[in-house]
Amino acid sequence: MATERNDYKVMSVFHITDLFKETHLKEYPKGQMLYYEGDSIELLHCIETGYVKVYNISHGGSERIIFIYGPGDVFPLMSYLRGDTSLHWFYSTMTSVSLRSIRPKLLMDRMRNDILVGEALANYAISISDEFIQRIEMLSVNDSKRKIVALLAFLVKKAGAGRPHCEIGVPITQQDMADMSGLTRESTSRQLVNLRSVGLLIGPSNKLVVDLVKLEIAIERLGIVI
Amino acid sequence: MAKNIKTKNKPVFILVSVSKVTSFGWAAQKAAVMAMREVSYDRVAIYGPISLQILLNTLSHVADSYNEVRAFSNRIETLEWLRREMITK
Repeated sequence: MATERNDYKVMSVFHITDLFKETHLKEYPKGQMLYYEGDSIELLHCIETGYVKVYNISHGGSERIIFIYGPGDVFPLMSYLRGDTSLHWFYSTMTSVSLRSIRPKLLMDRMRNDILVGEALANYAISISDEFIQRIEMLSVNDSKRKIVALLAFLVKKAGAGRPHCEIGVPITQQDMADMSGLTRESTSRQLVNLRSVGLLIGPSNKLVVDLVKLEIAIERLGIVI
Repeated sequence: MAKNIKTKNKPVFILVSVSKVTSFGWAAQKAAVMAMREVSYDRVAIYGPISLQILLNTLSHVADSYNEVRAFSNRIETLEWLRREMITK
């Protein structure tokens, strides 16, 4: 509902997903490329179900996952609002995904003269940007335990379900975790075994189930900023 | 100052650093939108931390001034855009 706040027409309640309400839901299979590095931003997507990974490819040809978008996330909004003319990363589906999509022009029209919509979009994009920065900073840390605990905290936030035992709902291999934290697969495996021995990871080894109480203690002890 | 320059029929290109700005609340956002709409300029290029880059580019959309006001994350990029705009203007 539109109201007046000083001299601006503003929305009293605005949710970012409102922008996508009228659009068709489109299904994508697992492994579908949505954007290549260097692509221009033709569409902004809102995830209804499933997960999308953002990654780059190293000089050696290996894929490094930088970020994961989950249900309710809008991408690549951060790049769009930063003013990027082309994308710096690859975007592809990690699971089957359903998306609603709009053209950036619709977003611009919606923002025009509506400072609260702009503020809501900017705040969302800034929070995503902060998470990106935390993820990238964690790659440069020289402590494998810290890296894996920070990665688990990120995965819990983006794809976790359940308390106090939280299952990570996105399929992720040890190699993915190694690539996401800038470690070798061997170091990653060793850290996961250690975390399992102290009960921070529980359940069968083919699943990632995190004890949130122990995770919070580890985050505090290691001085990880989430 | 911008108005004075404009009265002399000269273009107004403004370079702004917000690198030391630590908070940007509602009043500042509103003032920024007002300034984008009302100040007489040709182009404004702003640089600062990424959070302000996102916020200011969003506000320039709100003010319908995105072609004239852009925010960047570093000074070099900012100057490059400003130079390009000066040439095409």
